[in-house]
Amino acid sequence: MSTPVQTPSVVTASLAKDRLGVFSVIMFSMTAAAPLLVVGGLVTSGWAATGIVGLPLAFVVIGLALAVFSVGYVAMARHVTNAGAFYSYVARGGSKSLGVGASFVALLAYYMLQVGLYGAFGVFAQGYLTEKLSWSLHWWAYALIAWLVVALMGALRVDINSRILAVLLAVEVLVVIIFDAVDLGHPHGGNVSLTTFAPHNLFVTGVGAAFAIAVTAFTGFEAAPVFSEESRHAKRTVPAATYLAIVVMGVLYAVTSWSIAVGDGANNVVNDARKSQSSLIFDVAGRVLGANSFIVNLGNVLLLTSVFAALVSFHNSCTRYSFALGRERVLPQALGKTRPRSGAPLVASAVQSAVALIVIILYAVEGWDPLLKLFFWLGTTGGFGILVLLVATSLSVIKFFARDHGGESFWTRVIAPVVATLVLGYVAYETLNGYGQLLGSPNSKARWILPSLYVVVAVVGIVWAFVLRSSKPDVYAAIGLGANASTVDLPAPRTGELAPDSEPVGTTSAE
Amino acid sequence: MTAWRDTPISIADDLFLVALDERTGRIRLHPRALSLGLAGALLAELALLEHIFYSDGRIKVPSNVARPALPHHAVIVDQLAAEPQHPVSTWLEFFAQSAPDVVAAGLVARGFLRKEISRGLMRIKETYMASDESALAWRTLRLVNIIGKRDVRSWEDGILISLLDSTALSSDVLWHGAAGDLENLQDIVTSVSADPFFHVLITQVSALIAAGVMTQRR
Repeated sequence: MSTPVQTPSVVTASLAKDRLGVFSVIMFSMTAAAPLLVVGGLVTSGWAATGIVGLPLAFVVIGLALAVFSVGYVAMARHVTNAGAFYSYVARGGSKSLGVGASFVALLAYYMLQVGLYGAFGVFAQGYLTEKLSWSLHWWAYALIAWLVVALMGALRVDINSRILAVLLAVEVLVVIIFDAVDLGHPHGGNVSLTTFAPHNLFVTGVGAAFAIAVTAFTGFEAAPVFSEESRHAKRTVPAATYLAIVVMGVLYAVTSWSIAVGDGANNVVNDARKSQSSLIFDVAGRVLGANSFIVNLGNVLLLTSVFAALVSFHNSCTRYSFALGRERVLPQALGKTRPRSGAPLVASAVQSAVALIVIILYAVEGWDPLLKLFFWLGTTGGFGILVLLVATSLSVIKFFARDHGGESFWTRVIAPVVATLVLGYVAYETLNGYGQLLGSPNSKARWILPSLYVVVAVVGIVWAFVLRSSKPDVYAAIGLGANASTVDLPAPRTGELAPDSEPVGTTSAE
Repeated sequence: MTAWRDTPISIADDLFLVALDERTGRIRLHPRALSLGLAGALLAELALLEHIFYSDGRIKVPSNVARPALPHHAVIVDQLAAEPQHPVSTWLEFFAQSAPDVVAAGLVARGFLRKEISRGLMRIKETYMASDESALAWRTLRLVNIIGKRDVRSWEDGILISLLDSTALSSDVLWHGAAGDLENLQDIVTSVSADPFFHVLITQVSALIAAGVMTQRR
């Protein structure tokens, strides 16, 4: 007896041509990676603010923790197809009320990450262009220029071409590798030291601050499941893109931050970071390559493009979350509307732009430090929000698969998420413990105000969900469905019957 | 000049015409929304003609019904019959690939529109100019009138109006409408959604467009 031959589906093959391949999905994950921004901005600001030398080891620890977290995360992506990712997983695994709480936390976290970057862009642009072109604009002028471009791109739904992004990222990585090679080839004191990987340089008082910086640096790795339904072979593409993003980011950040410390001397990085801040990576490499060399200048320009790409990427993340919540009617429905001609979620984009504008103006008027208090404070607080979401998602993964194993292995649905929950939970605890050190201001009120914001929005979200459950059950039913929120059954018409008197068609067979 | 102001027009043809800017000849809907809306319209037409039916979450083709008269309907029915395993969302995405070209070609062939091609520096631009501009504008005004008076007299009009909502074209169509029009629109959509198949079509068109927004698809 012969085995029946399965005819390949014409429909499936035709649709597959339009789907995203592994490379495209990886690029979407990596657009928020920004190696020069992380090592040139975040790490050096981190050394300056916290004084913790062991940041390179923090990248390794967090990278490993995220890899374990991703086991359950990508497994859940196979069962929950919703581009909302984190909050939809919490809604499906935990409860809809917790999902709304998580969505508000996510929204706040991504807003902070995006808005904080305007401080980085303004300071980096001011520093470089003042030196090279003798321009004398304030940091906020550059920030406002970047804001205008990002706002217009969001409103008109203009994206940076993925090929351009890929080229920029590739050149950025190449420059970083060159800097690493130069730093390791010309170590301070003549010895390539592994001091910054020594545990005693990381596990100090305030270790949570280092972890928070590392988590912030990895933000963006979680993007792949968002493109699950758009991927050609989602079961291969999503895990591949997620793990590859973690490995590439982790190796780049750990090696480059270590290289800077090798080139400058582990005992010098903290003081030198406080003196030169964002230019430290260029100063150290510039001692060998020449401060005005082509490669150092290219690095400075790529730092700006790196920050700009991250601004656009996080603006899109904020808009996407608001749009999803608007479609679900958890937030005002206007956020879930699009412009017919462009398909742009104009209201969601405009709201994000308006908030960013208000913050930039506030910092400019008050004269607050844009690198420390806008970029670093908001950026790392945004990273802390992501960390909270990671813990919540990990717990949701456990509960989701406890209800239905879904064919996943014991390692995938129990061991990995439990380990991830414990490790990331510990990281979150230590971060809270060392929040004052994270901010570089152990006695500042901000050390409890900033993390408390997440508690406030989470509680508001949960309470709002309970209100929806009792007053708008149809809206409550759609929580966590994102784009598919419209597929939930609609309530009966308000008055009378508006459809024609003829029998409904399309449901009964003609046979 | 083709007199087509009050000519009965299929749902897909009507959606295309309403989406057309009568002054510039450009589509006032972004490509993905137009494609999915037209795909939904074509499936709705077939359901109303009883060439397909919806059962157990799948579109099925009855075996004892005459072949569709229109060639493009026949092609769709053949494809549905050949691979009945796919859900509605998959069929919408599949037919969306060709729907704009098929519908536009039909309208041009019947003299409703003429296609104009202009070549710019970087790309070729296609526009569709109506053979009767006032008749084209009337297609939109007719719908505004129906929505304003809550006077839906056919399933075709109800489904068309619902697809306007799914594709967000209603915000353009109702630009000059009255304050209560949006509520009337939602009531019409809700009534049409009483039919399970049309509910699935309308909501899946909306969901697929939204999913495209969230994944930044063009």
